Amino acid sequence: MFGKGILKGLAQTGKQVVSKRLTEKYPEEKPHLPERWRGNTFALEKDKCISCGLCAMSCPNKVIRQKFDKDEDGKKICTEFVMERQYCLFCGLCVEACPKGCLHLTHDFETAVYSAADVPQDLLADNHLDAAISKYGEKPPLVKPVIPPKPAAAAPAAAKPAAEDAKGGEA
Amino acid sequence: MSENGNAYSERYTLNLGPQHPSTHGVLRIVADFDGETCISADPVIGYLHRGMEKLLESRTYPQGLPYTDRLDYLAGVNNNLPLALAVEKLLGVEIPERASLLRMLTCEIMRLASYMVGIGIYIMDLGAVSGVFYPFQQREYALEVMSALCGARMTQGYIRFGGVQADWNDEAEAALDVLYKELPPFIEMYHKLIDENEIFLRRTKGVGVITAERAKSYALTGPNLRASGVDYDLRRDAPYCLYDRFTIKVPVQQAGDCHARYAQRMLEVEEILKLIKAIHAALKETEPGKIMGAVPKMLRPPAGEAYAQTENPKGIMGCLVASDGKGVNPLRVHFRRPSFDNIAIFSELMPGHKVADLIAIIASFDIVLGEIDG
Ligand code: SF4
Ligand code: SF4
Repeated sequence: MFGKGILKGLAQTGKQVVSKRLTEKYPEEKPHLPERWRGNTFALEKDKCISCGLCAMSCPNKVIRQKFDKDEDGKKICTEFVMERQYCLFCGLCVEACPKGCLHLTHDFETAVYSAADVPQDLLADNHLDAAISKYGEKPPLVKPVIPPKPAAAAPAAAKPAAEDAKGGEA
Repeated sequence: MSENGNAYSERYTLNLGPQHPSTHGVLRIVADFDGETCISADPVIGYLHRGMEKLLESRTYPQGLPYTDRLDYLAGVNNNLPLALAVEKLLGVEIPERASLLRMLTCEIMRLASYMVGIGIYIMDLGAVSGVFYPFQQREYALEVMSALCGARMTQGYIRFGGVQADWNDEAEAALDVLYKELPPFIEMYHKLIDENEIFLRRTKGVGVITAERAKSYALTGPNLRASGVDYDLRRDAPYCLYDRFTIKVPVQQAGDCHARYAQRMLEVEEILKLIKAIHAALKETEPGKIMGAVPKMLRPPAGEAYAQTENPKGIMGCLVASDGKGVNPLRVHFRRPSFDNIAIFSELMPGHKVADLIAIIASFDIVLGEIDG
């Protein structure tokens, strides 16, 4: 009989009508996010950051704008740390590259803002640690002991070619 | 009388796309019609061109990896793999067993997700809009596994040179269990929903027939090739990663028409599920933690070039990487993108068909424009 297949299909549709609803009622109910979920903002543990610049060097799209200076003890400090999020791929390479594990992605996903000027994140002005931090890129503790004097100077030297490539040799 | 024998009709040119929902993105087809019958068809591409190969050449090796996800954005990890395999060939590194298994597992999961989109959109393009939601739900279960494992649903960038980014975790395990539970009833339900539907059958049977000879001469790959009766699957015939350890059953359809391409994908879905289960079981037997091979922090592969190819959801994806041995950037990167090669046959396949059949043909190919335009 012509139309039997359609009726058989309709019976399936009928079954779906009475089955459990799968739609998440989004604005009222927040979605469940896995712990490694990569959100759209960054958080920085400022006191742990050693201003090595490895995060900026590893970024494929030059999202991270950093400026460095020396403080009175001659220690390298970071004077500017801005994530230009409008260019970000949210690939997480920067988070993985950080030797101190102090740069994090967060679970923020409702990141709409009124002005384009609000998109970049100045992590020195607001380190954003109040957001839910993603566990993405968390490494098991390093086995090799880190030599305490001047780790900041050693790291960029080792990765110099990448620096030239990614940031025009700025570091 | 017109050249086609149709009275009162004249030849006209119809521009299909690039902004058309059934062109799967921004494919444009300029077709000449005589009445309802297509006389010639010419795919025009490039609306989504981002210069992927040049992007990769202007970045270091690891920085290039996340961009490859944007080729076939319906199956992110699958695109990472050929680049990773090619660079690893240059570097000559050993990949830990667990990392290889994780690569295969994620690739199969995303293959499943991509097939779900392919099937769902196909049915929707033929007019059954609700038919897209059921496969998309299954795809969502697959993407949940990926987001638990590496934090992103679509552009995962999960594979690293030398291994993978993160180890398997409990959340991914739980998400995969949901997929195991939900997929078999879905397959059964979808067969009942679609397989005997007369409208679907009449719109697809005998439409867009490609013989095995034509399929081979146009270098079709993937499910589109196998639907024409050519029994060829890289995972079985030229195994990469650890596919040679598993028995892979490759379903083949003989008809080569639009219906066969649908049936082919539905059959393959079942095989993919079996393969996911087998790889998952093998993964459980390996030691957790060893997911990266010994790869230097600064990648500077020795001079030379390497080519690697993988079986992607859309067909065979190949990647050629050339290194000059000095720089941290690749000298040249080139991708063989399966969708791009698959649509070459459109100009030959479409003439003779009606307007609505053109849509069925495009949909049955399961193309993705990110890949075609690069
Ligand atoms: S997530 Fe990727 S693109 Fe974004 S800042 Fe980090 S490295 Fe750059
Ligand atoms: S890589 Fe980490 S420690 Fe180094 S500058 Fe970036 S955030 Fe600071």
